[in-house]
This record gives sequence, C-alpha cells and structure tokens, in this order.
Amino acid sequence: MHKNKKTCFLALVVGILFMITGCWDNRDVTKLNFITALGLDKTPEGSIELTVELPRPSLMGKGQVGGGGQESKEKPITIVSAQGETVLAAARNLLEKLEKPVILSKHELLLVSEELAKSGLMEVLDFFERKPESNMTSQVLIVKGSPIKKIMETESEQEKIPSIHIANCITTNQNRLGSSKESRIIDLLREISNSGQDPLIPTIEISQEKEELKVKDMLISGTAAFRGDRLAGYLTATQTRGWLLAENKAKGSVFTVANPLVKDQKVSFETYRTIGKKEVELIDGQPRLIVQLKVSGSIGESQGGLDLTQPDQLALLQAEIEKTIKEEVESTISTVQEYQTDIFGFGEIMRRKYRSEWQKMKDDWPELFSKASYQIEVETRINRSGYIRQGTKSE
Amino acid sequence: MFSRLKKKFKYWQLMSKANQEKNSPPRKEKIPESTSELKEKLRQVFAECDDFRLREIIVGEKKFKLNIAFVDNLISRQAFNDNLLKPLMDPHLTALLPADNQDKIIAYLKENILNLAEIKEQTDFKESVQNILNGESVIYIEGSSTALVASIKGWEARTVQEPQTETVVRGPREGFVEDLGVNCALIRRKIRNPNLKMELRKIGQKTGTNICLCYLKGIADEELINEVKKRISQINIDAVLESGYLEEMIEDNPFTFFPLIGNSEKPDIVAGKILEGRVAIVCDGTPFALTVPYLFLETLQASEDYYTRSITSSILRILRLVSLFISLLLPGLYVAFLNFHQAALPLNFLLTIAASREGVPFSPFTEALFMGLTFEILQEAGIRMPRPIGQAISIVGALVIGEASVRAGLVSDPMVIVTAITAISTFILPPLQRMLPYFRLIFIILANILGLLGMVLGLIAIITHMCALRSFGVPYLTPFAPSSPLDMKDTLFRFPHWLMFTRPRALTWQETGRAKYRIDLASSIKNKTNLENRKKMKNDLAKNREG
Repeated sequence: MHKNKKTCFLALVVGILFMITGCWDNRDVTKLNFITALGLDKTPEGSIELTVELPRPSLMGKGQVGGGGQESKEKPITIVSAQGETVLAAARNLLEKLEKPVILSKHELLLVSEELAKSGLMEVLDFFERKPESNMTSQVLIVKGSPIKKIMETESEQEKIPSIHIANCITTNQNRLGSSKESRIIDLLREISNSGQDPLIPTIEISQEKEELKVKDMLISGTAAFRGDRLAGYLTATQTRGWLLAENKAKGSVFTVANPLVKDQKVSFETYRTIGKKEVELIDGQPRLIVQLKVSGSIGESQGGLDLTQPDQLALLQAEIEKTIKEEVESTISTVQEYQTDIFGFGEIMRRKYRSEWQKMKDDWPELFSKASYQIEVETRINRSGYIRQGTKSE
Repeated sequence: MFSRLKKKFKYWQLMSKANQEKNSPPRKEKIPESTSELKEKLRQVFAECDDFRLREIIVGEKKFKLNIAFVDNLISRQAFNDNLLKPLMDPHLTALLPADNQDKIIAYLKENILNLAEIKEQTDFKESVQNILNGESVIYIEGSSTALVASIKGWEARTVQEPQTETVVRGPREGFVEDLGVNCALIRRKIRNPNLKMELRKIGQKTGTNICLCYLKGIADEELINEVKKRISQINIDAVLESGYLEEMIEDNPFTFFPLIGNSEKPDIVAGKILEGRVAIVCDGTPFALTVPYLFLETLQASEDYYTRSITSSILRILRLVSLFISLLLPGLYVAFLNFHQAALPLNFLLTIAASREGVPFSPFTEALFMGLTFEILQEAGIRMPRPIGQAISIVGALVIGEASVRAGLVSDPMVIVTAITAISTFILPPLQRMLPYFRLIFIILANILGLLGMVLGLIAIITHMCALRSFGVPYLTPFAPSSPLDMKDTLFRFPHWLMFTRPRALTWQETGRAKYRIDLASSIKNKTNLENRKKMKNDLAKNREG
C-alpha cells in the first residue's frame, strides 16, 4: 500500500510536469507575425471586418538592420484588414495578404465597433473564448462613433506600438483619474454569463478630427454600459468614477469642489484610499440599493484662503466634498437605472442575500432595478493638507 | 548498450583478479653474501642503466667490503657524503667495529655509525632493487645476506606552491606537489592526530608507483575503508602516472558523465574531507589527491565556504546552484522559447529578439549548436596551446564569437549573450565543467524536438540517472535523495560551525560530536560557582566585622 502511494505520487508529479509545459508547435519567431491589436467591425452587408495591427520588429528600434543613426521614416506597424462571415473566416482571409502566419497570443487590445456592441458581443467573443492561444487578459474597448480602421491607423509619439499606448492609457486613467475602466476578455466573459452583474467596457472616440490622427487626439475615457452582451448606453468619465468608487476600484483621483468660504474659488481633494461597499435591502418586497463610501485623502490644492487648522472650516470643506462625491455616484446610479443595466452587481448581492426572493425576481430584475430607490452614504476624511497647513497670504 | 559494456568490464575485472591470483607473491630471493656474486647480479639487473652507481668502500681494521648501490640524482649527494661516506670512512669510528659477527656489525653500523634518520634492514634482493629505484641507498655488507637501506632521497622537485586550479581569496594557499612524502606531510600538518592513518601501497607492475591511503580511524566508516582497500588491491595495471588511472580503476560506474570520485590539489580540502569521514588516496607523481566517496553535493561546495561567514557562503552556494541550471539549460531554454513558447515571453522582449533575429539565416537550434561548438573549440585551444600564443586565441575568439559572426548576420545578438552567460556559469563549477557541454547539447536537441516538454523529459532522465548512481555505496544525491534532514546543514545553506553538531550521516555514524554549542555549559557553571564563592566571602567579611 505504501509503495503504491509513492508510485502514485511520482506519477502525479511527472504528469504535472508534462502539463505545465503548455501547448507547443515548432515555429521560428522570425517566421511569425504577432498581432498586437485587433479591431472588429460590421460591414453594412453584415459580414465581419477584422483589422489587425502587426508590429515590424526590424523597425522597432535597436535592430541591426537600420545600422546607422537616422530614424527610419517607415511606420513600425502595419495595419491589415480582411472580411469574412465569422472572425475566424476573416482571419483566414487575412492570411492571403500576409507573408507570414499570424499568432494571436500577444494581442493587448481588442477594439469592437459600436454596431457590433449593439448587436451583441458574443457574436465575436466566442472566437476568443474558443481559441486556446488567444490572450484572455487583453483589454476590450468600444469604439464610439468612428470606423475602427481610423482608430487603429493612428500613430503614437510616445510608443512604437499605438495599441500599447492606448492600453496603458486606460490603466492610468482608471488608477489615477478614475475616468476609465479596464475590461479584460476573461472578466468580460464572466460578467456576460452572470445574470446578477452587467459588464462595463471602456470607450474610445476621436475628440479632434485631423488629417493625421495621433493617440493624443483621442478621448480615452468614459465607458459603455451593457445589458448582457448588448450595448445599453454610455457613461461619462465622472459617471465612470462613480462606478469605480462604489466598486472599490478607485485607487486615486482628484475631486475639485467649490471653496466653502470664498466664492468662485476651488479646492482640489486628492484621494488615495477609498473603501466602497454595496448593499441591497428588501423593504416590503422592493429592493433598496445602498452604497457606502469611505474616502480619505489630502488637500492637493486650495484657491482662496482656507485655514485647515480650524475644525469648523475643515468640517465645511468635508461636507462640500461629501456632497460632490454623493452627487457623482447618484448620477451614475440614476443613469444606469435609465439604461436598465445593473453594472454594479446589485443583483449578484441579492442572489446571495435573498436567495428565494431572487429566484422570483431574476427575470424582471432590470425592471425592478431601474425602479429601485437608492441611498448613498459618504464619509470623508481629510488626512493631510499637503506640505503646509495654510497657504502664503499677501499682506 | 551500457549493460553489455558493463558485463564486459566485469569480465575484465574477473580476469584480472584471476591473473592476480596466478601471480601470487613472488618468492623471496636471498642477497648473495659474496661481493663478486652480488656485483654480478646487480650488473645483470641494472645492465645498460648508466645512472646506476655502485660504490665499493673498505671499512675498519678488518677491511670489510661494503657496496653502496644507488641511482644517481635520486639521492642527495650532500647527505650521501656527510651522513654515509664520512662516518663509514672515519677510522676513529670504525675502529671499534666488532669483527666476529656479521649481525653485530650490522647492528653497530645502524646504532653507532650511520647518522641517518631512517635506516632499515633488507633481506630480499628484489626488494632491495626496488629500494634503489625508490631513491634509497642500499648498503650491501660482505658476508651477510642482510643489507641496510638508508633513506637519503633527494631529487629535483617542485616546491609547495599555490595551486593553479583551486584558487581562493581566503584560505591556505599551499597546494600538493608531485612528491608523495611531501603531500602526506601536508595532510599530516593539518590533522595532528595519531588516528590519521596513512597506509602506503605500491601499484603498477612497471612503474611501481607509491600511493597512500589516508583516513581518520574512528571517524571513517570501517566498511568504507575495507571497500577502498579491497578495490585498490584488485587493481592490476602496469602503469600509474596520475591519480586519474586509479580513479578509473576503482569507480563504481565507469559509464557516467558524473564525477564519482573527487579530486583536489589542496591539502586543506583533502583534510576537510578526511575529517568528514572520507578516505583520501594520494598518489605519487601528481598533485591531485582523490577522495571517496564523492557526492553530487560536493560539486557545489568550495573550501572557502567554510572560511568565510556562513551567510555569505550560503548565498554563494545558491548562486552556484543557479549557475548550474543556467549553464545546463539556458541554450535549451532559448531554443524552446523561441521555437515553441513565444506566447510565454513578454511582448517587448519578443519583439526585441525578433528584431535581432531578422535576417539571420539559421534557426535558433543551428545557432546554438554552432556557438556551443565554437566555444568548446576555443576553450580546448585555450588550455592546450603554448602560453606565448595565448594572445592570438583570445583575439580570434573574441572576434569570431563576439563581433564577426553577428556582423555577418550568421548569429543573432541574443545567442551571443546566451553563449557568454552559459560559458561563464560553467566555470563556477569546476568539477562539472567537463560534463556540462554534453548535457547542454542533449537539452538543445530535446528543446528543438519537443520544446519545454522535451527539456522536462531530459531533466527527469538525468535526475533518475543521478538517483541510481552510487559512490562507494553511498547514494550520489545524498542528502537530498535519500533525504537526510540532519545533513541538510551543509547543503544549500552552510550552517555556522557551532551548529554543525554531526558529521555527514551518509558517510559515517561514528563519533558524531563535531562542535559544541556556542554557549559553553562548563564555563557558565564555573561562573555560577564564582558567584557563590563571592557571596560566601561577603558573608564571612560581615561576620568578621561583627566579631
């Protein structure tokens, strides 16, 4: 028996070793095209147009091909697109135009057009879910208004590959500003399959029409709220922040409020820690949505005099900030109630808390959610006032 | 295939054993008493040996004839003149030589006349010839079948120097030389203990090379000592020019890449191994002493680990293990990742590599083989070439590997870096340096066929092979497999000396006490009694005052 156990253990270890090595196929790196970004659009005829961004390694910088000091005028990326009935068909058609086969495992960005989003994301996402080599941590973006190809052909002055610039922008906007939200394929799929929570996907749009578009000419903020896999409506940047606060995902952002003492002057409050809590209560069979926020931060800037050593002035400011935050979250909730999409996942909380009631409510949840009353509690703490207590005053 | 070779090897072993039994110890040959007969015999033995000398002198009032035989340049002329000829030819000293009995003469010569440290009697002629060849002077006495052997060896030899192979920053700098006596003395100087046994043996029918078994009785396992003695007694070889000959004759598994017998050029390392319960075999004519049993762990250990602080040496040990894996796997990993697992690499890294590989006509596999081969050729050339043309090798090597192959677009930059890191890592582990290239090659081939899966298969095969290896009966991977928790104190981490209570269990179970804990119990008890004494004195003083 003891020997058997040992053999089993050994077999297990060896088996695991075999599995962790992953899938394989002998292909040389130089004989592959890496896709760094994909764009999916719907043509008026109803077929899918796939646009891919392919970096050209030899133009990526320190290759020995360039040799000399002068920068190559050629673009370091190529944009190719093809059409097909399905994503896979389009991808196959793409190969007609390429010298080397493509490899999907490195894409950082998946751009989806508004039309596709409206008709249902699963139409295209199934391909990524099914394909073993696809990068499930790639970010998804909804392109608002303009054709996908135009967005993908933009150039970046800071990054060789524009799609990486865009992907980084989303992350920064989420963490530093709270104006956008990262949405990865794997999370998206989970949210779509979950009846208690609807997905929220960041959007991108062209803010300035120009001949040669750069990434800086685009607005990478705001989000698109979905119902299931269908687009329901858009949220602005501030509304997105309201969602991030409630969702406990806001890492740091700046709230600018009116100075409570001096007219027409502003105070900026920099948050560095937010604890958001969501709760649902059933009162007489009607759900009541509760959002509790604890925000702490410091005064980043203050126009006009404000003596923060005075408790009463501090309290005034605190009340002002609380009001602003509360309004923001309220605006988010009321908007999504209008869209009838539960991006906060209140339904999920319901399912956990009121199991039997949820079974009955499940089917009309969007309706119930849109009519539900809500309550927002904000608690602010001003921990620091920066390097000084009081600004210099001219005498 | 190996098993067949093994069988054949066993057959050879058995044959040699049978032969040995056939040539059972040769019969003794008496030393002729008459001078003329003796001279005739010696002339026969040393015919055409122009370096053989026979000095005939006449001693004492009775005119004894003494023949002193020696080989020129193997003895010290100075000692020969001062300590042998001078007293023998001094009429004052030899005047009292007893006349009647040859035995008495020998005893008188030994006890009263010859002022030499080492002198012994020899009755066998063949042995006396061997003594002459060993560099001793043999004094044949007319009318006696006993000869005196005077040891006044003295030949040109290298002095004790810092060894070139095992250099250290901290630690003794002396190294073994080609002389067995000096080497034994160097070990003895480290371990001043009568339990350090040194057994001399003679191996090689033609060369008659002296070897010496060194071990600490009471610490080294008796079974191990017997096993070493048995294996050495079974050696049947005509020549032993270096300890490598012995190594091949006594190792457990002749068909493995792994070293199963350790060698060292430094007395402190050998002494350390002896103290751990190992047996050392010192061979005349080479500065490399062998130590058995040899465990894989020892390839990671360095003498300096024990001389510097335990924390830093522990970190260095881990570094050595890491570099072992680097030098074993890195080219294979490079091939595997570039050919199979591109998805596992970060995008930027991948693009950089792809950029530098653009235009290179060969696959990573061919590249890795080419660079590996080039490096091995350079290394071998570097060792073999005459010193003065060393510059040429380094210039050509740097140009070929570094510049030209990249410039020509034959090899990519990352491959040059991989080759360089691999090569440098190899040098951290001198004992494995010779075998690592072959394993590296196997891994490159496996990586090209199956990617990481192939490399995992290769690792499993190698580890299985290592588990099966034994060195003088001790499993090669102890204390990892079979695991011995107590012995882990000196593996990847070198514990402080005051925590190394026991000797390696795999080697010896005897007298395991090695260090006492730092807080010496005895001294703390002493302090306690001092305190009590002081209290007593205080009390006495108080009483006196009262009184």
